[in-house]
Amino acid sequence: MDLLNHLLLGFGVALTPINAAYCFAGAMVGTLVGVLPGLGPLATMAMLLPITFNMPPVTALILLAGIYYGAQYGGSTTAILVNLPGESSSVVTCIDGYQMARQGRAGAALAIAALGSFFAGTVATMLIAGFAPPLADLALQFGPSAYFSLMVLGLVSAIVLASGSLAKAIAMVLLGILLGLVGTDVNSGLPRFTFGIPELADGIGFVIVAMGVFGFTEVIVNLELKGTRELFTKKVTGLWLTRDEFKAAAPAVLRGTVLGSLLGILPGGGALLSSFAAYSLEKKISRHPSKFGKGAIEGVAAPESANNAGAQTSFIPLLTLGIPSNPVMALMIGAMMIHNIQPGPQIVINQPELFWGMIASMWVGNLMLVVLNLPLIGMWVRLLSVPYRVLFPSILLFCGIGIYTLSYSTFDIRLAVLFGLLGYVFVKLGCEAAPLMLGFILGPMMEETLRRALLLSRGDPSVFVTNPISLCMLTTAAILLGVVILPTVRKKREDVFVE
Amino acid sequence: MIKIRNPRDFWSGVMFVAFGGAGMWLARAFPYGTAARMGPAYFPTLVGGLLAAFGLFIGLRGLAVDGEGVGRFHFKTLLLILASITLFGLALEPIGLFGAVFILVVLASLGGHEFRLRETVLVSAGLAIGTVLLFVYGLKLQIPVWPSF
Amino acid sequence: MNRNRVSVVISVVLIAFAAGAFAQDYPSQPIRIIVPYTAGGSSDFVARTVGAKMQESMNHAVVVENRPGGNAIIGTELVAKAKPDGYTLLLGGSSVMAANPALYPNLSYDPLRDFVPLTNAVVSPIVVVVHPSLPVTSIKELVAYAKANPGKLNYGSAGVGNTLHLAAEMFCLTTGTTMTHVPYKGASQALTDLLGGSIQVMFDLPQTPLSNIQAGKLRALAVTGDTRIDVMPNVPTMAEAGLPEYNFGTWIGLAAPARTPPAIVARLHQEMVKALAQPDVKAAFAKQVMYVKASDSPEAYSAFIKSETERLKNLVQKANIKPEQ
Repeated sequence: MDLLNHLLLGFGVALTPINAAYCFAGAMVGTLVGVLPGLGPLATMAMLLPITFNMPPVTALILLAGIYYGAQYGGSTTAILVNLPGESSSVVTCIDGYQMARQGRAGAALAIAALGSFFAGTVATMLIAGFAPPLADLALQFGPSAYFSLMVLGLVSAIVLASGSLAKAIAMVLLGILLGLVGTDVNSGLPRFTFGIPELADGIGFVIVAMGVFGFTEVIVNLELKGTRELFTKKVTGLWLTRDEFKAAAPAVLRGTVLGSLLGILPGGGALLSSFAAYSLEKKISRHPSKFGKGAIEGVAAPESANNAGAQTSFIPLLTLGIPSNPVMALMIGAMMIHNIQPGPQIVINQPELFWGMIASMWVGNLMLVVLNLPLIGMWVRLLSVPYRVLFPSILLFCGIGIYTLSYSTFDIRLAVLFGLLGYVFVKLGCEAAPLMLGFILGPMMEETLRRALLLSRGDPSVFVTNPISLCMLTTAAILLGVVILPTVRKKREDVFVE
Repeated sequence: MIKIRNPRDFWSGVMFVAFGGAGMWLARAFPYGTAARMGPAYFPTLVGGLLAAFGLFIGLRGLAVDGEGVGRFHFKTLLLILASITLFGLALEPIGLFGAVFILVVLASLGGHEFRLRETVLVSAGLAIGTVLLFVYGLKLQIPVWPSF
Repeated sequence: MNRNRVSVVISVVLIAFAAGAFAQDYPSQPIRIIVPYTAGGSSDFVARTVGAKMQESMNHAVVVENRPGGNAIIGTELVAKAKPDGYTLLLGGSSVMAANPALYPNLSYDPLRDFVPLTNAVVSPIVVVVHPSLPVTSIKELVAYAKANPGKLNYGSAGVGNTLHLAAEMFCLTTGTTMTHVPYKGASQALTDLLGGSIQVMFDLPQTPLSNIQAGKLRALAVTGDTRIDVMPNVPTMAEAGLPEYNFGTWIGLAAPARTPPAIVARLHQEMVKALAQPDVKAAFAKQVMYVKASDSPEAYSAFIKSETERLKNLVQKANIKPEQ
């Protein structure tokens, strides 16, 4: 069969000693970069770009790609161990992953993150191999109205994300949206809420908010506890998954993979949304939703699988249409330019070794990452037994450096501190940060697509229901909203009756 | 004297109203446009308004329904930790990474439970050397290491 | 024995210092080329290619640093405020040097006052692409369609005030048509919607939609400039298509902070022109539809920037382009 031949060709390219070696190198560097908070694959790839000049094109791309998805694996490590999202896509992993670590299940969390990611990577690679062009076309069908409705659906799922008061969760989402609106408004070109500060002209970086609200806040709150020695239960109960955990996690991995693969195709934020969406889905269909937020393994398995699947499928618009779906892909295009490759629909035809070689290498890279990361789990867990009084300054330091390297701006560090303060206030007031993060990501995109859709329809709002995809999303959102609110309403009625 | 039954809810509400109000206030500088052709102020005002509305609801609920109190603020810890990072940021470019590490670690450790000077200095030194090796020499990032004079 | 060795070492060190003091020659530190855009774009590509050649020829480190943000203003400001010692250079082109001053009256820098232009590097034409569903196959038909349906056509750009926006507005001014501007957060997002059919037209740099044009998913109507593009041989120039009065192009060049010593400026100019003259450099750029066009001298480049800024100021005024609704 054709596909088989292509894959054989691909593996032939990917498994040459040079390509395999660079794949490994990229994955390793990527993992390291992912573990370090703040520092991201983009900066590292840009830095290593000159080194790739004298390499054959496939090798260069394999190296760079390895860094990218290696970072996805690494980002989950700090999220689980110290509540620090190493990458923006690992924010959701913090919620339950960190709790699992607190309960002595760090090994299991790390294991399922790695395994789930590997599974997701495998499936995503197969999807790319078999269905890249039709998937890309599907992505093209998403016009502004469809995107808007997707955002609405995403926001509704934010409500599911929260464990506490519904009203507070909605308020946090709204606050997140408001914070996300800081920056230059696309449709008018005017800077909003920037107070004249040029660093804010492009908005507040997601990583900065996450560092502050998750990382710094957590450290301060931990230090308030009388006994920081018992922060992480000394009794680490095994480094691996128990049978039950595995059984619970497996379907979550599957669902996360599907969700992540689909959302990753959409240019512009699809991959980030996928981990949030996967988490919400798990919580919604779980029989014990109250487990979530306290160390539910599904809460780690699903988002991790989703974000890795999304990371892989975000290559699809790049490889098939020559369109980058995020800044990392834009850099890949740059790398291709340097090597005189024209990204776009004809790569499959003109340079099949490149196309299939990259795809095969993605899978090889994922395999290497699992092999690399699983044995390291023991080492990471041992890291937790470092006395907290030494650990926490290190955490703060790595965050500080990481934030600085984002744009070489110390303003960013101070901004993160501000969010650390804000996060502290949130904790004291019992407000959850996760809905805020989701609102932060989705809000601006929602506004952008809303205004664009209305601009294109010349002010006619019916475009949101006449477009089939948009209608589909909105209906689902409405149903989801109803399903979420109804029980609360019924419960209130019952309470009244009891009285 | 109105009793605040649920301080958490009440003060959360206050916070939300403040943010929502601020959003609406700051958006005044821009054109609103119409629903069909929104200006830059439309959406922020809408969101800010909704936020303030929810804040009001939550705040009022905090007056009516019993609930938990606000968590205790440990100002010393809070201030020391935040100060340590802020000063790190401010010191980074003039003094360089090596020195800034000391500032951060010492200040942050003061915010912890047991402050042991000798151990803190040792840890600072270790981290300073380690991070310089990792970030500047290993990853080739352009972070100033030494004072620039 | 030991003391002898020590004195040898001391002498060597002293000589090295002395040599360094005499050889106050430039360069003695790595030269940084600041690119005010994220890595991977065409400006970045130009910087890296030219930088690599300069490094070879000068036998000295030349590094590229990306400092994106604020519509390229952050990186530009960085260089404007940098020490004028020839170690910090700016890669900036039409948007930074000419468009920004035209668009933002309160811009924090003045290209000709805060910078010493070194040389232009490349110029790039603009291609007019449309979605295949649009029933126009030539520029003339596009103009006719636009005249018959004022405001109906949607064109995408990479932002308000962006080069692509300006190119389109200049077209509308020249042809007396109106089209609706739909701004995006980047050319690739606009391209996605163009491919999907939500917008119908784009005035774009040729390399972005190139592969899709070649695959037939988009239709290219014409290119600006004097010659046809090699990789799009069937696409006529504006002149050939009957619209010679429309001309718009983008250019990318290099600059140093003001008050950089003239000797260093001359040396940099020389090195850059040398790098740009290399056939492999020309070929690599041409493949990305960027044509090498080095300035004869820094002063010539300065004059060029001045005239372009005037032109764009005129356009911004006449088309009433303001960062605003």
